[in-house]
Amino acid sequence: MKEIKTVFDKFDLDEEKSNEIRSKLVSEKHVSHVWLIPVAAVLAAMVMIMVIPVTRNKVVNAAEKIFKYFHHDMVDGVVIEWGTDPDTGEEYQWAEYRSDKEVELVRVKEGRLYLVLGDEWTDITDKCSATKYYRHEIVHEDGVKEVILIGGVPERHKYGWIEIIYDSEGKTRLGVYHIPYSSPKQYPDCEEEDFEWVKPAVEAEGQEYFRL
Amino acid sequence: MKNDEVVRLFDQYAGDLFRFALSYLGSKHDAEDIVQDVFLKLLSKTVFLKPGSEKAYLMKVTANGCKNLLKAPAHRAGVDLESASAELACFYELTDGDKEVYDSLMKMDETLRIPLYLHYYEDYSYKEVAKLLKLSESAVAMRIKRGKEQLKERLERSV
Repeated sequence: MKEIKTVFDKFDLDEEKSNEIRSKLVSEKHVSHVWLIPVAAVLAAMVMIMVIPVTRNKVVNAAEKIFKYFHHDMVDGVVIEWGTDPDTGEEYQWAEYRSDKEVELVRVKEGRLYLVLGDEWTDITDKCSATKYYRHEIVHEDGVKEVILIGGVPERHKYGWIEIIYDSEGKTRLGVYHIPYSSPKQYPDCEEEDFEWVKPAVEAEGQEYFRL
Repeated sequence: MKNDEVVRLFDQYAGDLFRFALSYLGSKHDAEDIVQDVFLKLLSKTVFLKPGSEKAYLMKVTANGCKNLLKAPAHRAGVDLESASAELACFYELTDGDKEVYDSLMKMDETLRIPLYLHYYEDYSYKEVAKLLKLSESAVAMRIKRGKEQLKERLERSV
């Protein structure tokens, strides 16, 4: 089947198109709507991944042996793993946003705001506003807890949610913000006063509020 | 994902994704559009890719993009393979032999063509192909075997 190799080796993205896409990638605004907290934990996790991936495997293998290894598919598509090296006691954490697992946890249908978990749609419109939020908690069998905080009104860029995951000892492992305001450049139609619920919601969880 | 990171991935993998999309769609323009789409979408995603998993992730996103495009009503009428192939032959200066291989491959059903491409061009193992296409390893093995036989037969017929 070397014929396939011979033919396809001749194909490449043509220079003109390549330059066109490249310049778009350079100039296009970075419009990520998912932010991860706590930043320190994520950065530490990324450093582990980027710098010492071998250690990660070692830790995972060792941790699996003593059942101190956790893997969770968070309800909004974030995959998170953490564990402890039994020899050194070193903690390891890794998180990845998986677009193939992405789900719309909060949806608007016929002017109503819903929390959608699998096939279950919960109408939370009346429990949410620019200043009010709805709290939903999921406790897994292993004691890991996911808290979902939803606020806003059912209009484009006027609602959002936060998901926080705690381990069985109550330690915050990761928080994910899905709040469509970050800077006026990214979401010009977003008003900060539509998200007054965010700060009290985060602080009620004992988390430090910060503005990205 | 930040612009400079996406540009780095683009510089490293755009060619691979383009060839993969081309093997899927048969049209240079459609393949270019898919590649552009894959990387522009990365700008709006927060994705942490483990070292060594970047290409697999991008190939998967490309495969999904190609599948969606093939399903789109506007695309269902199909690509005019004759003219798409003639354009490619002209642009990339394919020999008659290259064109025969390409045409034979593109006339095959995509269920055989894509595993064949991934295995023989990308050197993916059956396991890797299975993971990318969400198939069982035995299904991949069967499709590659059948694809190989079919391509051989088509090439022999065209001689």
